[in-house]
Amino acid sequence: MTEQHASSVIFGLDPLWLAVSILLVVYGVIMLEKFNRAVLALLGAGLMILSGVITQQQAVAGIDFNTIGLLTGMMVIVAISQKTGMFQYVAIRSAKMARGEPWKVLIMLAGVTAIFSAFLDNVTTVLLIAPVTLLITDALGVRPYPYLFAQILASNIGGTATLIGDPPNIMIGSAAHLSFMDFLTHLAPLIPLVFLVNILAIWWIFGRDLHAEEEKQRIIMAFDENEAIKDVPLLKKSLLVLGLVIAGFSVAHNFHLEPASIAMFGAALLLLLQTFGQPLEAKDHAYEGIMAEVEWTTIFFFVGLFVVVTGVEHTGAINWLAAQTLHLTDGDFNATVAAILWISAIASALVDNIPFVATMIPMIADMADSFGGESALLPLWWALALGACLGGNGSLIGASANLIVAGFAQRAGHPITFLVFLKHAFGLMLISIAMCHVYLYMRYLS
Amino acid sequence: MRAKDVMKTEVITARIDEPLCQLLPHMRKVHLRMLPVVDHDGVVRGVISTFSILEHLLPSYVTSGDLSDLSFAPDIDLMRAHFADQQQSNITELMEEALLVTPDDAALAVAAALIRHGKHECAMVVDEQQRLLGVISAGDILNGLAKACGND
Repeated sequence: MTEQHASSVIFGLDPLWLAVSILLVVYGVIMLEKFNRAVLALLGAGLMILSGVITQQQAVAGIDFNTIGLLTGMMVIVAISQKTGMFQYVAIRSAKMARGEPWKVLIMLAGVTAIFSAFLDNVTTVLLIAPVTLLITDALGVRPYPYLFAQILASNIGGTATLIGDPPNIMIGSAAHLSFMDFLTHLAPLIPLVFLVNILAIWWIFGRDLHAEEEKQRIIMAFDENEAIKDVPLLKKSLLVLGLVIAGFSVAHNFHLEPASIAMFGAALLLLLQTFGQPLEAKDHAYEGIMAEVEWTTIFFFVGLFVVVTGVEHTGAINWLAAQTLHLTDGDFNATVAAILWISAIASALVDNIPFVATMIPMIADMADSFGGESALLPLWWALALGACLGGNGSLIGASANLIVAGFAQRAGHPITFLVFLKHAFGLMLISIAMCHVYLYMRYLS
Repeated sequence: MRAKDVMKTEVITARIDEPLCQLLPHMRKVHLRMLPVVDHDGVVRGVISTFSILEHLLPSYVTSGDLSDLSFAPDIDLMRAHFADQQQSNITELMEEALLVTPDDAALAVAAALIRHGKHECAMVVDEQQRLLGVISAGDILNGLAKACGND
């Protein structure tokens, strides 16, 4: 690949070292958490082009518009459907189904979080469920930490199950041409088991001590979930489009359609239905409101990151890294799968898993020749997905959703500290990854 | 016209070390919704209002807007519990620190624009050391204008 980089790099510098330096500086400064990560990624992307490592054309070709489109489309759909109050409805309904018993409420809320996280992004899920959880724990008079802890774990576990559950899966699915059904058949079967083991551990750590007075449990039963539904016509439209989009994802592969096309079409359809029959001014107003809710910072972060990784890829550095990894594992497939699983998990617990996965994807793709073609790479992709998604549970900074929940807890006067979370979560993450290791071994390697 | 021409100089203030249980009866007695909080040197440190107190009695997930609608919840007596908890709280924990202040020689339009964009109906007029000189409300400005136009 070395011949692909631009002919003249600024000051006659070595393109490989320049590109790798840009990547390392960008990742390093992202880790410091002093600057916005999207701005850093875009600066890095700009430097890759301005210094001559890659041309603008190569940079644009390196942006995975399937990932960008899928993320944007789902953000629009969620921005509209959250206005209906359906997520609060489900959370309250589940707490009532648990009859307000503290431990059962914890399981139900964690379960709801896991299921929503499998189909929506994790941050949105916890943003919607955590406030209701705090209200419920206030009503029950129990401390919220075990509930929020369970929700953090559940959001990352649930997100692992599907193509659209977590950004790493979106990126992996897109790069490796894995369909929604591929993720459902290969990853989803393991997820309930991981969830169960984590819940059992949470019971062991906290659940045994959760008690609430009967009078307070009755308060939970007095919640009226129907009041949470704000807009019944919009609810029907949102459910229709969400149903169509998920059905679309399931069959997209058969029609040679990419998930981004389905998500963007669903977003456009819901934008149309949302204000159908209203005057143009009201339509424009609603449309602009929804567009403002799309997390453009995240989208631009992805754009910048794809360009930075493309720059490094063009210099042959990632190819070299893949060769070194294979050298270390002696070209042994089982050892490579294990290395990717465990390294991804530890790395994702410590740093943002999105740039990590963005770098790993071309590296794994480069291993195709060594292992006998693209189709042989499947277990490696699953190892990366499992490691990167579940690794996020290892520490409070492992995933954005963790930090969002910690923010809620802090404001509510029950801060979740880094070390306390680490103490409870890191071991659980290792157990989850060990389960993945056994699963991968039994299903693909033995 | 300047801010000092229309401001009110007789201002009831709250002391920085006052607890809520002392302040609230006082506020109710003088029928004021908002008091400047000053330290021992007369320097403005914040604003305490019925609104800012109310904000502290609601859970953080409500005031942050993450769960702004509670119509589905029964009365769980959260506010009464918080109200009891806050009785001994110092004003500094309940006041707003973002101040709406204007120098006394500011043009009336400057003061009016400040009030227009702020959350409260009045701004505090201060000297160079941030010491409180008076308060200026939308009503004070209108009264000043009416007087100047001979409509008084």
